Amino acid sequence: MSSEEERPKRRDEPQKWGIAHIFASYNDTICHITDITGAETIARSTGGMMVKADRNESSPHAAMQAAFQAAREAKDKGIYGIHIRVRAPGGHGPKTPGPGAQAAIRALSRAGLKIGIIDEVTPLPHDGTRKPGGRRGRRV
Amino acid sequence: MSSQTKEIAATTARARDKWREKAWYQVLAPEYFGNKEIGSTPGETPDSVIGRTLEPTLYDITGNFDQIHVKLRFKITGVVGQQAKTVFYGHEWSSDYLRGLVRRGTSRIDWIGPILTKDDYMMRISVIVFTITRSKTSQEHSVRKAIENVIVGHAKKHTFDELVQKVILGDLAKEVQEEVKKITPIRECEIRKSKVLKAPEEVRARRARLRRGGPKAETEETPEASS
Repeated sequence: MSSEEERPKRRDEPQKWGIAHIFASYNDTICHITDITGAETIARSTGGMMVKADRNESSPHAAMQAAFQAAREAKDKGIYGIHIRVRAPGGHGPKTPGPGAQAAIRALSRAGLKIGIIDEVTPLPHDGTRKPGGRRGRRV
Repeated sequence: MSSQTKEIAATTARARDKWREKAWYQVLAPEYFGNKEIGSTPGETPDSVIGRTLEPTLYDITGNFDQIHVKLRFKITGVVGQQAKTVFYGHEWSSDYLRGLVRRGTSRIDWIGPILTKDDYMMRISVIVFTITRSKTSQEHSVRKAIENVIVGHAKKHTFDELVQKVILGDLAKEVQEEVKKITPIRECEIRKSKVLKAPEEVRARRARLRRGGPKAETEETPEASS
């Protein structure tokens, strides 16, 4: 206990925490690292910035690259650890995170950032609007 | 091409400078949570920090690992030097913990209602009760009534600070449990969520307006209701 009291003084600088907001849909993965209030952006990187083909934007590989990139920037700015908030599109869209979510979380922890709490924050409607497509579904 | 790259370099340099200018403000928990440091947030001016909310868990404050599923919400109200002061703004269970408690063959009874504390804070409190066996509708009704009696009665007696502490540390839930136990056997009884709806100034202003009374109050009331 006594050592904990001393610690904050000495380690004031490297103990900065942030939040990694990971938005993983089936079309893209966005990795957005903010401060602990979510008001200040520290680093932002997406799957689409990492690959050439549009269909690969949501791939685990692109997500990994994006997460690494964001983690690097965040570490440069002195972030020590992050809490993770994963979300899918939600609303009337898909409610399960896309393929990039797991890869992004893995990449963040591999990049040397401490991981705090991993949370799922998909916005679930308490009954909202109707899903587009109509009664007979989307006819392609 | 080269000019373009130069421009990009210039913008990134400016962005980085802006980041450097920002000072990190230490965020402290409210007094009734022991003024503990709960994080830090960067801001250009102290004013820019005011109004931000942050969500530490109860584990961060008490150090009790059993309480990691309780997410607290604090709002920054003022800055003194490098330290930001916060007030309690609500709490909630993490969704996966709540989902883990819901089981087949048992009932989940919710009570959600607004309450007014002694010093005129308006709060909304959500109580959740899990029974051991499936309960009848009449039991559910009487359970809700019992919960309301206990919670509203306590809210009247306590100030905001005391009530928040009771809600978070589970004393209020325990008292509710004592009452509900008499009606039906229960597995769990907790306060799942709370939220501060109105500060005392707002409540008092509204009450004063109502006391002035009559049709005039009604006309004044309508814009608030519509907005």
